[in-house]
Amino acid sequence: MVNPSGLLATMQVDPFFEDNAVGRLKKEIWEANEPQIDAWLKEYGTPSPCEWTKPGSYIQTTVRHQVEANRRNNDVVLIPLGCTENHGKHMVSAADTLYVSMICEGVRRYTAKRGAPVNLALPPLMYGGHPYHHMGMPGTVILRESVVRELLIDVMLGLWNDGFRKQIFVNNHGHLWMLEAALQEFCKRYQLPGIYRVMDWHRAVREFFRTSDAGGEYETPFIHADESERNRCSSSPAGTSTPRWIPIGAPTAGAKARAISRSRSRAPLRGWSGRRRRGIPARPGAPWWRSCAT
Amino acid sequence: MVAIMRYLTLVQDEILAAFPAGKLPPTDKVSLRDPEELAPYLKEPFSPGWKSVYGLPVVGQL
Repeated sequence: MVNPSGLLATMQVDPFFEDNAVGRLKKEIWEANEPQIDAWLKEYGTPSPCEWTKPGSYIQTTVRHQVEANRRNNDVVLIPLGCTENHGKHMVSAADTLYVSMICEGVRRYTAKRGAPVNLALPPLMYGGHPYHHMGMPGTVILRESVVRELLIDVMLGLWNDGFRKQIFVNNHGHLWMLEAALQEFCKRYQLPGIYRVMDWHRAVREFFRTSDAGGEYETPFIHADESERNRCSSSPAGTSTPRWIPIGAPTAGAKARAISRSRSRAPLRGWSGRRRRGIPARPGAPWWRSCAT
Repeated sequence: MVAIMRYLTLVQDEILAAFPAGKLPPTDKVSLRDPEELAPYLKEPFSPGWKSVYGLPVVGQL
């Protein structure tokens, strides 16, 4: 197989990964076998219930002297961001916030084993900003964009004042543009040295979320298929359909995700389960925090 | 989930490799503020000479 310049081939026709630290990491995971995936999950203590109330897990649930001691070894803070959103009758509306919190908690557990735990801030957006097509959906609670932006700016400033000056927003919801705006405005307004990042976590590792129609193992696109396609989810109880909130035929986030996925996929994904890569079992009836849609 | 947890671990490792705990990018490279003026605010909270960021004068567009 011809290896394009600067890219790493995999055991499949596609994808290729960039020949850098991130690409090599992804390639290693892509080609790992089940025992290796299990071993990595174990290193991160995953799966695990959410640790919002666990002493020592978040800055806000850690005694002050320990917060200061941790910060002197590692002053990076992960800020998980989610929302309150109706994901269908088989799901809870805090799903996004719970997922991203548990991801960040796994990173904290892993780095703690190495002696310098990354810091976690409790999720500041238990509600969230939303795209326009969420308007009117019962069970979805929408903060206005200016509230989201100013709240996050205040959170960033408060964490900065406490010495947490390397801040990473880890996002699990469709309000990315508000987070980017908050970060930009914070930097313009206060002019404070630091490291500030925002990422949609599923986009950071998008190669692992191919749908079945693109040769992957996922039934629905990751990017909130639930708005228009939640009825396809195999974990949905029978007869729990929820009406559409956008016109039939309108472009959706899910459609966009499929288009992107198709354009990048030319061969069937063979091998192990994508769900296991995420620590999420496929079986119906699994605990809600390990279930299907996100 | 393995992928994103290891990715985030890599990100925080690379940040700390470039700027260990307590170290930040140089003020004159990333800010319009006077480095001397900002120096007390960059200290560890409650350490000698530290000032709270809430006391910083406003700069930029109002």
